[in-house]
Amino acid sequence: MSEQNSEITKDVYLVVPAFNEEKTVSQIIEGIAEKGYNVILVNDGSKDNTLNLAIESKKKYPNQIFVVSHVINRGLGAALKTGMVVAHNKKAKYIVTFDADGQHEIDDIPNVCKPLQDGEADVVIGARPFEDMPISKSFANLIMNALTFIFYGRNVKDSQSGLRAFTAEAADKINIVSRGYGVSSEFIKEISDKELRLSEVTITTIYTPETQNKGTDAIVGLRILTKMVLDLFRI
Amino acid sequence: MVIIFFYKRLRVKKITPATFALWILVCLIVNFFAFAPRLSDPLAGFFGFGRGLDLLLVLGYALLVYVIYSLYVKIDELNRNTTELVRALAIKDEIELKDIEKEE
Repeated sequence: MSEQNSEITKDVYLVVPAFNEEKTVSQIIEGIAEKGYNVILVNDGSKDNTLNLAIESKKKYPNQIFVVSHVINRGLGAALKTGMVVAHNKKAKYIVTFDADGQHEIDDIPNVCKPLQDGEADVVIGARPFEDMPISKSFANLIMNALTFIFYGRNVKDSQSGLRAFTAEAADKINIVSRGYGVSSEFIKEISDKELRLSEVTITTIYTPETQNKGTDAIVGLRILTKMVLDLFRI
Repeated sequence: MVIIFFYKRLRVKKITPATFALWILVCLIVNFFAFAPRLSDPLAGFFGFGRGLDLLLVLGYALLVYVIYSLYVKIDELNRNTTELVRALAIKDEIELKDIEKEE
Protein backbone atom coordinates (compact mmCIF):
# COMPACT_ATOMS: atom_id res chain seq x y z
CA MET A 1 0.00 0.00 0.00
CA SER A 2 2.72 2.41 0.92
CA GLU A 3 4.42 4.44 -1.71
CA GLN A 4 8.15 3.84 -1.59
CA ASN A 5 10.35 6.69 -0.39
CA SER A 6 11.66 8.61 -3.36
CA GLU A 7 15.10 10.19 -3.49
CA ILE A 8 13.58 13.53 -2.55
CA THR A 9 11.36 12.35 0.30
CA LYS A 10 13.38 9.56 1.94
CA ASP A 11 15.52 11.92 4.05
CA VAL A 12 12.57 14.04 5.17
CA TYR A 13 11.03 13.24 8.56
CA LEU A 14 7.82 14.93 9.65
CA VAL A 15 7.35 15.38 13.37
CA VAL A 16 3.64 15.36 14.19
CA PRO A 17 2.77 16.06 17.84
CA ALA A 18 -0.70 14.88 18.77
CA PHE A 19 -2.79 15.43 21.88
CA ASN A 20 -6.35 14.11 21.64
CA GLU A 21 -6.44 14.25 17.83
CA GLU A 22 -8.45 11.08 17.11
CA LYS A 23 -10.58 12.86 14.52
CA THR A 24 -7.69 13.79 12.26
CA VAL A 25 -4.57 11.82 13.17
CA SER A 26 -5.03 8.83 10.82
CA GLN A 27 -5.87 11.00 7.84
CA ILE A 28 -2.88 13.29 8.46
CA ILE A 29 -0.13 10.73 9.04
CA GLU A 30 -1.35 8.34 6.33
CA GLY A 31 -1.68 11.26 3.93
CA ILE A 32 1.93 12.26 4.60
CA ALA A 33 3.19 8.67 4.30
CA GLU A 34 1.24 8.30 1.05
CA LYS A 35 3.39 11.09 -0.41
CA GLY A 36 6.50 9.09 0.47
CA TYR A 37 7.66 11.04 3.53
CA ASN A 38 8.61 9.56 6.89
CA VAL A 39 6.40 10.48 9.84
CA ILE A 40 7.20 10.51 13.55
CA LEU A 41 3.92 10.68 15.46
CA VAL A 42 4.44 11.82 19.05
CA ASN A 43 1.39 10.95 21.11
CA ASP A 44 1.49 13.45 23.96
CA GLY A 45 -0.42 11.57 26.66
CA SER A 46 -3.72 11.63 24.75
CA LYS A 47 -6.80 10.47 26.67
CA ASP A 48 -8.71 9.51 23.51
CA ASN A 49 -7.99 6.91 20.83
CA THR A 50 -5.12 8.82 19.15
CA LEU A 51 -2.44 6.27 20.03
CA ASN A 52 -4.39 3.22 18.83
CA LEU A 53 -5.28 4.95 15.58
CA ALA A 54 -1.63 5.88 15.05
CA ILE A 55 -0.64 2.23 15.59
CA GLU A 56 -3.26 1.16 13.00
CA SER A 57 -1.72 3.64 10.56
CA LYS A 58 1.74 2.27 11.32
CA LYS A 59 0.51 -1.19 10.34
CA LYS A 60 -0.32 0.21 6.90
CA TYR A 61 3.01 2.07 6.51
CA PRO A 62 5.44 0.16 8.79
CA ASN A 63 8.58 1.58 7.24
CA GLN A 64 7.44 5.19 7.11
CA ILE A 65 5.33 5.82 10.19
CA PHE A 66 7.09 5.76 13.57
CA VAL A 67 5.13 6.14 16.79
CA VAL A 68 6.45 7.27 20.16
CA SER A 69 4.24 8.03 23.12
CA HIS A 70 4.56 10.27 26.20
CA VAL A 71 2.98 8.45 29.13
CA ILE A 72 1.63 11.78 30.41
CA ASN A 73 0.87 15.05 28.64
CA ARG A 74 3.94 17.31 28.55
CA GLY A 75 2.86 19.99 26.07
CA LEU A 76 3.48 20.92 22.45
CA GLY A 77 7.08 22.05 22.94
CA ALA A 78 8.06 18.86 24.76
CA ALA A 79 6.39 16.67 22.10
CA LEU A 80 8.13 18.52 19.28
CA LYS A 81 11.50 18.11 20.97
CA THR A 82 10.90 14.38 21.47
CA GLY A 83 10.02 14.02 17.79
CA MET A 84 13.10 15.97 16.73
CA VAL A 85 15.34 13.77 18.89
CA VAL A 86 13.81 10.64 17.30
CA ALA A 87 14.31 12.15 13.82
CA HIS A 88 17.93 12.86 14.68
CA ASN A 89 18.40 9.25 15.84
CA LYS A 90 16.95 8.02 12.54
CA LYS A 91 19.52 10.12 10.65
CA ALA A 92 16.98 12.51 9.15
CA LYS A 93 18.47 15.06 6.77
CA TYR A 94 15.48 17.40 6.95
CA ILE A 95 13.00 17.68 9.82
CA VAL A 96 9.55 19.22 9.33
CA THR A 97 7.12 19.97 12.16
CA PHE A 98 3.48 19.52 11.17
CA ASP A 99 0.32 19.98 13.27
CA ALA A 100 -1.96 16.96 13.70
CA ASP A 101 -5.20 18.97 13.78
CA GLY A 102 -5.54 19.18 10.02
CA GLN A 103 -4.79 22.88 9.60
CA HIS A 104 -1.82 22.33 7.28
CA GLU A 105 -1.95 21.30 3.64
CA ILE A 106 0.18 18.21 2.94
CA ASP A 107 1.04 19.65 -0.48
CA ASP A 108 2.91 22.48 1.28
CA ILE A 109 5.60 20.07 2.57
CA PRO A 110 7.73 20.21 -0.61
CA ASN A 111 7.42 24.02 -0.60
CA VAL A 112 8.90 24.39 2.89
CA CYS A 113 11.60 21.79 2.18
CA LYS A 114 12.77 23.34 -1.10
CA PRO A 115 14.84 26.25 0.33
CA LEU A 116 16.63 23.72 2.57
CA GLN A 117 17.28 21.28 -0.27
CA ASP A 118 18.52 24.15 -2.46
CA GLY A 119 20.90 25.22 0.31
CA GLU A 120 19.29 28.65 0.57
CA ALA A 121 18.19 28.38 4.23
CA ASP A 122 18.77 26.45 7.46
CA VAL A 123 15.22 26.92 8.70
CA VAL A 124 11.96 27.57 6.86
CA ILE A 125 8.76 28.79 8.44
CA GLY A 126 5.49 28.26 6.63
CA ALA A 127 3.72 31.61 6.97
CA ARG A 128 -0.07 31.54 7.08
CA PRO A 129 -1.67 34.54 5.37
CA PHE A 130 -3.36 36.46 8.19
CA GLU A 131 -6.12 37.71 5.91
CA ASP A 132 -7.37 34.11 5.58
CA MET A 133 -7.71 33.74 9.38
CA PRO A 134 -10.72 34.53 11.53
CA ILE A 135 -10.28 38.04 13.00
CA SER A 136 -9.68 36.88 16.60
CA LYS A 137 -6.88 34.56 15.43
CA SER A 138 -5.22 37.07 13.14
CA PHE A 139 -5.25 39.72 15.90
CA ALA A 140 -3.72 37.30 18.45
CA ASN A 141 -1.07 36.25 15.93
CA LEU A 142 -0.24 39.90 15.08
CA ILE A 143 0.29 40.60 18.79
CA MET A 144 2.50 37.51 19.09
CA ASN A 145 4.58 38.64 16.11
CA ALA A 146 5.05 42.03 17.81
CA LEU A 147 6.01 40.40 21.13
CA THR A 148 8.40 38.01 19.40
CA PHE A 149 10.07 41.03 17.77
CA ILE A 150 10.25 42.96 21.08
CA PHE A 151 11.63 40.04 23.09
CA TYR A 152 13.75 38.25 20.52
CA GLY A 153 14.51 40.98 17.98
CA ARG A 154 13.37 39.05 14.92
CA ASN A 155 10.60 40.24 12.65
CA VAL A 156 8.80 37.30 11.06
CA LYS A 157 5.54 37.06 9.12
CA ASP A 158 4.08 34.29 11.28
CA SER A 159 5.86 33.52 14.55
CA GLN A 160 3.22 31.01 15.70
CA SER A 161 3.10 28.77 12.62
CA GLY A 162 3.27 25.04 13.31
CA LEU A 163 4.71 24.19 9.89
CA ARG A 164 8.48 24.59 10.05
CA ALA A 165 11.35 22.84 8.34
CA PHE A 166 14.93 22.45 9.54
CA THR A 167 18.11 20.96 8.22
CA ALA A 168 19.45 18.28 10.59
CA GLU A 169 22.39 20.55 11.48
CA ALA A 170 20.09 23.46 12.33
CA ALA A 171 17.80 21.23 14.39
CA ASP A 172 20.82 20.04 16.40
CA LYS A 173 21.75 23.62 17.26
CA ILE A 174 18.26 24.56 18.41
CA ASN A 175 17.67 24.05 22.12
CA ILE A 176 14.02 24.15 23.13
CA VAL A 177 12.94 24.35 26.77
CA SER A 178 9.34 25.61 26.48
CA ARG A 179 6.80 22.87 27.01
CA GLY A 180 3.66 24.58 25.77
CA TYR A 181 2.67 26.86 22.90
CA GLY A 182 5.54 29.24 23.83
CA VAL A 183 7.72 26.92 21.78
CA SER A 184 6.84 28.75 18.54
CA SER A 185 8.37 32.01 19.76
CA GLU A 186 11.27 30.10 21.27
CA PHE A 187 12.10 28.63 17.86
CA ILE A 188 12.43 32.21 16.56
CA LYS A 189 14.66 33.12 19.52
CA GLU A 190 16.90 30.14 18.85
CA ILE A 191 17.05 30.88 15.10
CA SER A 192 18.12 34.42 15.99
CA ASP A 193 20.60 33.43 18.73
CA LYS A 194 22.25 30.70 16.65
CA GLU A 195 22.33 33.00 13.58
CA LEU A 196 20.58 30.45 11.36
CA ARG A 197 19.46 31.44 7.86
CA LEU A 198 15.67 31.78 7.90
CA SER A 199 13.34 31.69 4.94
CA GLU A 200 9.56 32.17 5.02
CA VAL A 201 7.24 30.46 2.57
CA THR A 202 3.55 31.28 2.26
CA ILE A 203 1.39 28.25 3.04
CA THR A 204 -2.29 27.38 2.90
CA THR A 205 -4.20 27.18 6.17
CA ILE A 206 -7.32 25.11 6.58
CA TYR A 207 -9.63 26.49 9.28
CA THR A 208 -12.19 24.04 10.65
CA PRO A 209 -14.08 24.19 13.99
CA GLU A 210 -11.43 21.82 15.45
CA THR A 211 -8.46 23.92 14.36
CA GLN A 212 -10.20 27.08 15.56
CA ASN A 213 -10.38 25.69 19.08
CA LYS A 214 -6.63 25.22 19.23
CA GLY A 215 -3.63 27.44 18.67
CA THR A 216 -3.07 31.03 19.67
CA ASP A 217 -5.98 32.96 21.13
CA ALA A 218 -5.94 35.77 23.69
CA ILE A 219 -5.51 33.46 26.71
CA VAL A 220 -2.74 31.41 25.11
CA GLY A 221 -1.12 34.71 24.03
CA LEU A 222 -1.15 36.00 27.63
CA ARG A 223 0.37 32.74 28.88
CA ILE A 224 3.14 32.96 26.29
CA LEU A 225 3.80 36.60 27.28
CA THR A 226 4.05 35.61 30.96
CA LYS A 227 6.47 32.85 30.06
CA MET A 228 8.58 35.24 27.97
CA VAL A 229 8.83 37.68 30.90
CA LEU A 230 9.65 34.91 33.41
CA ASP A 231 12.29 33.49 31.06
CA LEU A 232 14.09 36.83 31.28
CA PHE A 233 14.63 36.11 35.00
CA ARG A 234 15.60 32.47 34.50
CA ILE A 235 18.79 31.58 36.40
CA MET B 1 1.12 27.63 68.82
CA VAL B 2 4.00 27.86 66.39
CA ILE B 3 6.29 26.31 69.02
CA ILE B 4 3.80 23.46 69.61
CA PHE B 5 3.58 22.87 65.82
CA PHE B 6 7.36 22.62 65.45
CA TYR B 7 7.68 20.56 68.67
CA LYS B 8 5.24 18.00 67.20
CA ARG B 9 7.28 17.85 63.99
CA LEU B 10 10.44 17.40 66.05
CA ARG B 11 8.88 14.52 67.96
CA VAL B 12 8.01 12.65 64.75
CA LYS B 13 11.51 13.50 63.48
CA LYS B 14 10.25 15.56 60.53
CA ILE B 15 12.69 18.31 61.53
CA THR B 16 16.10 18.23 63.21
CA PRO B 17 16.76 19.71 66.69
CA ALA B 18 18.81 22.44 64.97
CA THR B 19 15.80 23.49 62.83
CA PHE B 20 13.59 23.42 65.91
CA ALA B 21 16.06 25.64 67.80
CA LEU B 22 16.18 28.08 64.84
CA TRP B 23 12.38 28.42 64.81
CA ILE B 24 12.30 28.94 68.60
CA LEU B 25 14.86 31.73 68.14
CA VAL B 26 12.78 33.34 65.34
CA CYS B 27 9.65 33.18 67.55
CA LEU B 28 11.46 34.73 70.49
CA ILE B 29 12.84 37.60 68.40
CA VAL B 30 9.45 38.33 66.76
CA ASN B 31 7.67 38.22 70.15
CA PHE B 32 10.30 40.40 71.77
CA PHE B 33 9.84 43.15 69.16
CA ALA B 34 6.05 42.67 69.22
CA PHE B 35 5.96 43.53 72.93
CA ALA B 36 8.66 46.20 72.75
CA PRO B 37 8.32 47.73 69.26
CA ARG B 38 10.21 50.91 70.20
CA LEU B 39 13.37 48.87 70.79
CA SER B 40 13.51 48.01 67.08
CA ASP B 41 13.44 51.68 66.00
CA PRO B 42 17.22 52.26 66.25
CA LEU B 43 17.78 49.21 64.03
CA ALA B 44 15.15 50.49 61.58
CA GLY B 45 16.77 53.94 61.60
CA PHE B 46 20.08 52.37 60.66
CA PHE B 47 18.45 51.03 57.46
CA GLY B 48 16.65 54.33 56.79
CA PHE B 49 13.18 53.35 58.06
CA GLY B 50 11.17 55.46 60.50
CA ARG B 51 9.68 52.55 62.45
CA GLY B 52 10.72 49.00 63.23
CA LEU B 53 7.40 47.74 61.89
CA ASP B 54 8.15 49.26 58.46
CA LEU B 55 11.48 47.46 58.39
CA LEU B 56 9.75 44.21 59.36
CA LEU B 57 7.14 44.60 56.60
CA VAL B 58 9.76 45.30 53.93
CA LEU B 59 11.89 42.37 55.09
CA GLY B 60 8.82 40.13 55.15
CA TYR B 61 7.85 41.21 51.62
CA ALA B 62 11.38 40.62 50.33
CA LEU B 63 11.41 37.19 51.96
CA LEU B 64 8.05 36.28 50.39
CA VAL B 65 9.21 37.34 46.91
CA TYR B 66 12.35 35.26 47.38
CA VAL B 67 10.37 32.22 48.55
CA ILE B 68 7.88 32.46 45.66
CA TYR B 69 10.65 32.81 43.08
CA SER B 70 12.58 29.90 44.63
CA LEU B 71 9.43 27.77 44.40
CA TYR B 72 8.93 28.83 40.78
CA VAL B 73 12.49 27.80 39.93
CA LYS B 74 12.10 24.51 41.80
CA ILE B 75 8.79 23.64 40.11
CA ASP B 76 10.25 24.59 36.74
CA GLU B 77 13.19 22.28 37.38
CA LEU B 78 10.88 19.44 38.46
CA ASN B 79 8.80 19.96 35.33
CA ARG B 80 11.89 19.81 33.14
CA ASN B 81 13.13 16.66 34.84
CA THR B 82 9.71 15.04 34.43
CA THR B 83 9.69 15.93 30.74
CA GLU B 84 13.20 14.49 30.28
CA LEU B 85 12.07 11.29 31.98
CA VAL B 86 8.89 11.02 29.89
CA ARG B 87 10.93 11.70 26.73
CA ALA B 88 13.56 9.07 27.57
CA LEU B 89 10.80 6.51 28.20
CA ALA B 90 9.02 7.39 24.95
CA ILE B 91 12.20 7.03 22.89
CA LYS B 92 13.27 3.82 24.63
CA ASP B 93 9.82 2.28 24.15
CA GLU B 94 9.20 3.35 20.55
CA ILE B 95 6.24 1.35 19.33
CA GLU B 96 7.28 -1.62 17.21
CA LEU B 97 4.80 -3.78 15.33
CA LYS B 98 6.40 -7.01 16.51
CA ASP B 99 5.73 -6.00 20.14
CA ILE B 100 2.08 -5.32 19.34
CA GLU B 101 1.71 -8.63 17.53
CA LYS B 102 3.16 -10.42 20.58
CA GLU B 103 0.60 -8.73 22.84
CA GLU B 104 -2.22 -9.72 20.49
